[in-house]
Amino acid sequence: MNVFVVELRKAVDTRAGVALLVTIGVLVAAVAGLQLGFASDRSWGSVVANAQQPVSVLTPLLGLLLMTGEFSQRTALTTFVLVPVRSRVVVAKFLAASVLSVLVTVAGFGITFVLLLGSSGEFSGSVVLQLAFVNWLTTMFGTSFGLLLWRSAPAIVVYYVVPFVWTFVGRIVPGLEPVSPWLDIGQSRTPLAGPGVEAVEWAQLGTSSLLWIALPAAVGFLRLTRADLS
Amino acid sequence: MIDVHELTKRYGDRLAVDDLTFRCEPGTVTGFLGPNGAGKSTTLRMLCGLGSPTAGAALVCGVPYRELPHPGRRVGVLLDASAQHGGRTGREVLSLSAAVLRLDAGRVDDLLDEVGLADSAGRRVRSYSLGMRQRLGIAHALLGDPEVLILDEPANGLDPEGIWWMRRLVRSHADRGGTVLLSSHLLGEVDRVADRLVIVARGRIVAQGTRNELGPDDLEALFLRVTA
Repeated sequence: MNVFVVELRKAVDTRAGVALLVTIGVLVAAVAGLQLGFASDRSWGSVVANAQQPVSVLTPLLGLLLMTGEFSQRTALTTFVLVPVRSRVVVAKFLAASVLSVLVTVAGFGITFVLLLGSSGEFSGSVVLQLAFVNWLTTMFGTSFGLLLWRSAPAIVVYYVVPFVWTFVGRIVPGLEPVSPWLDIGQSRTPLAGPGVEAVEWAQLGTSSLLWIALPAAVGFLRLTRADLS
Repeated sequence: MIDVHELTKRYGDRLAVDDLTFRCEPGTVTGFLGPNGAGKSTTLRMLCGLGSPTAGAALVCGVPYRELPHPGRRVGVLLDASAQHGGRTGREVLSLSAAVLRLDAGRVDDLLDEVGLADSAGRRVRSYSLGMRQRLGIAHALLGDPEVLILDEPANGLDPEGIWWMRRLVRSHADRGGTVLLSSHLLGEVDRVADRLVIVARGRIVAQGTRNELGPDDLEALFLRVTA
């Protein structure tokens, strides 16, 4: 429990962590405000989904940096001396990233709902939950890439670029089109932004999450538990 | 107590640590000496559970470090003073570890006082000099009031007053019954504070014993002779 609390604190006790949180808050307000002020589509569902975009793009960085910070700042030397059972630290980091994702998501919805006060629209609880779930998934995605790659800069680049390239490849290479939704987390999470997600879409989210979250997390975990740290 | 027994570490073809055996008894300071690349840091990392031995054992308080239930309460470690997150304040660095060790916040302030960082505790570590980082690292090692201290080059970057302070700290820790293993390139300092010396070169022990057992040469002459 105390290791989890410490990991949660580590994610937000640096300037980078605070800057990231503030940026997310400002972007959520900006996206919702701009859409309400200027866009033609001001429907409740569209504003709420769009306002969560900054959360789902940036919150994963908190988890990613929580992992890579140990290596890029070399604090692994003290972290794993104090807690030599490395799996405890890894689990605490994933839990901390999960809690952060929920807190940031709740704050994001809070900002959006305040801006939406007075405008009409059908509140959809299931869409809110789905968006929160997507935010959590992407945070796990970023955190597992941090665990896999250890260094901040390569992990950030790979986290943002590889899925993007993968989506692109899935679209242009003939024959990949039918399998692509099963393997591409960028595509498979899109339906969750709206109501009426189908069973096959949940299944596609499951398989692509195994590929992009569970697999890198497992490989990174093995790498960490076997490594000599210096 | 520290008990290193036939400790060996191999990286590919290279033997970084080759069959080291030595003990550090409670109440003593052991100076761990050797040229750069002799295997000192590799040995200390294995002692602290950061690296796995290829063969042999590195025991602290009778067990491998990773099997200690509350290692931070038994062993204080300073391996590299520059390995701190530059974006955290000095107080935050200590507070995080105090939270892991379930110590109360007063302990952090006491140690900041003790190492002379009370006035800079709110500054980010990025702005610290090497000497200040070293003091922070010492405070970190002392946090859990451990019986064993493992210090890698703790005098690096300290000014003469700091070196004097460090020597007194190490000595009094041992005089209270603690065990200290201390690596350093400052031969004169080690000579003044250590009860026993372990000298390594190319991964092997080339000399060990009390100062008297190692002969009448001054330490520099001895060091250069055995590590040549």
